[in-house]
Amino acid sequence: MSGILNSEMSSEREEQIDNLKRLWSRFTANTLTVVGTLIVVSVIFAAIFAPYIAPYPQHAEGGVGSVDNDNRLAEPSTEHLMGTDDSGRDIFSRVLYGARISLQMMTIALTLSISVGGTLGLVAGMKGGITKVIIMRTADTFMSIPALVLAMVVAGLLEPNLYISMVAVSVYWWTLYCRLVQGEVNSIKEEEFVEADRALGSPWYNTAVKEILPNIITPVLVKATIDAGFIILLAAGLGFLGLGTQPPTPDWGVMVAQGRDFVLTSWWVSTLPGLAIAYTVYGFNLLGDGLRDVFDVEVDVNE
Amino acid sequence: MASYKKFVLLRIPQVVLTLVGLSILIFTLVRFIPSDPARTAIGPGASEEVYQEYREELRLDEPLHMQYIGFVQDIFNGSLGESTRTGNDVAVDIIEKLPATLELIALGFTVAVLLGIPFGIVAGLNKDRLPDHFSRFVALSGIAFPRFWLAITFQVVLVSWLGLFPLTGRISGAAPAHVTGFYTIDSLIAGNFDKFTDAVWHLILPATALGFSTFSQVTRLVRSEMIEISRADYIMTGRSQGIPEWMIAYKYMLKNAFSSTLTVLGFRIGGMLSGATFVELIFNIDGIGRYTLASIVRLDYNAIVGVVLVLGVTYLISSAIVDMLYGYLDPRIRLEA
Repeated sequence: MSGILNSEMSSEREEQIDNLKRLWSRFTANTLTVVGTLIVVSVIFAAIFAPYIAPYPQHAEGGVGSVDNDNRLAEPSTEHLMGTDDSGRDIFSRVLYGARISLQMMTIALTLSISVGGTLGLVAGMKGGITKVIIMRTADTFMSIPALVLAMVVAGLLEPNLYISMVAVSVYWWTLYCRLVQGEVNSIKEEEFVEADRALGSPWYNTAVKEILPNIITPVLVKATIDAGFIILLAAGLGFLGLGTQPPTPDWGVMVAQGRDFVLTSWWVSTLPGLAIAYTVYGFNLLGDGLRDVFDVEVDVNE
Repeated sequence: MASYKKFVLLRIPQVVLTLVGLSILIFTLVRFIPSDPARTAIGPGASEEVYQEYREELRLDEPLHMQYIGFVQDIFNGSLGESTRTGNDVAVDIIEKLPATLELIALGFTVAVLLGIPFGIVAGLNKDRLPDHFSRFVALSGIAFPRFWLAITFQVVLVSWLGLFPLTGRISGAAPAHVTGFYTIDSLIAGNFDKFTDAVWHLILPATALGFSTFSQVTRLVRSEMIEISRADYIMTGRSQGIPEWMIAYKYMLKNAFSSTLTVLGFRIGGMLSGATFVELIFNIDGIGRYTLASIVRLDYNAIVGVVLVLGVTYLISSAIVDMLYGYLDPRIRLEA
């Protein structure tokens, strides 16, 4: 008896391992996915180890020696890889620290959007009826304002800073997860294992947490990976317009904006920090696309 | 045809409902913030009388729902309330600023379509070969590079280094006599062809910076459309009957490419309207994007509500039109609605 059970269990485990192996080989088969992963890992690395890699950490951290007036607007050189800005600060060091701001902002905004939007989408999908109509119509209303404009209004009316810009982004972004989760719930609600749970008399929220939630985590995570790039773009945009993170915080968008006055004389001040944004967005997009193929899920891409 | 009528009739109340929701949302949003709009508008040091006048004008002493009713009544009278920043009616301001932005968007879309369709077709017909990889890389760049970065980099490379385009502005010298507000059209009406080319010349860089992300989406969509269609039965049949490849591409594929482009344009209009803020700021164009930004920075309440409402209406109407066109072109969509 126990022998049969054991062999069954081990074959189940083997199957799981096989499954993981298959996913892994599908993941690594695509060069672009691997490139995306490397990019994302390098950005995370830069964010964590910025104080150790940055040649002039004091230029990003503020405090004593945060400006160097003898070295204003120095061209890129071996000493200053990306040159210096109008306060003589090393742009490369500030770009490295900027990864911290971007990743932090993106993680919190995504967490907010997923928890609010996901919960509402789950409720809408499970309850149906008038609840669903109200929730989904509200989401439609928020979506009818362009993401940037809604974020600008919210940030501008409150107080432009790093934390408010996370909220401002989420005020638009929750709608996307509300829609996604609601759609997913709809498509699996009629499946037998869900019906069975309901027939056993579980209340809807129990069914939602026990049976539905595990099945919608994958598409949500895939979409979150793709969205990470777009949220970083949006936040950088807010920073650029002066409605996000405020100087002297080394935010990528803010840094691009600061170089605008020197476009004709010192090209590096604006353009090089902007490359960091593009690099990061490339990374998350490639990684997200790859995950989408590996897990074979369909998610909309919104910008 | 009856089902199409039904499809359209179902869509209209949806749009109206969302519009009402939108007006309530933005109206309450603006009123729920910590600072005093009248105080902000008049600035410090103004007399108590002026302050009270402003409060009355903004209806701030009335209950919220009365404020909203007054606001809706004003809309039906063609007014969006006075801007505390410019002193004009917001509706008048918006009508004045809109042409510059629409001109940008129109040319931006043109650039996106003219580049995106050929890129998408070449990529789709060469799936997983070099042209495909190349155009996918370019398409991804359109998403990854922020518009404000593109605009500034254009200024650095094409203006500062190569001197090919004007740095900022909409036109050199005086604007053409005002008819529509579109400098390109007005200059043609005035019969001044030099002014026309000059206006177009000024538009190229900002429009390309604005349209680049739309270009990449057109490319993506046309590419996947091409791949899907080239596997379709009727294309196979056509091939087996010996219809030349260029004719297949031209007759069947291009048609589909256009209809998918249509959807992209519908979805992108919101992104283009808001993205114009960056481009207008960087190229010093006095359009609706800069107006929005200035209104927000100066907490100009009526202007914020008005602008958001106009942007929302534009987005809702354009996506409804695209839906309807699409439903007309493809009967299957109607059944899903």
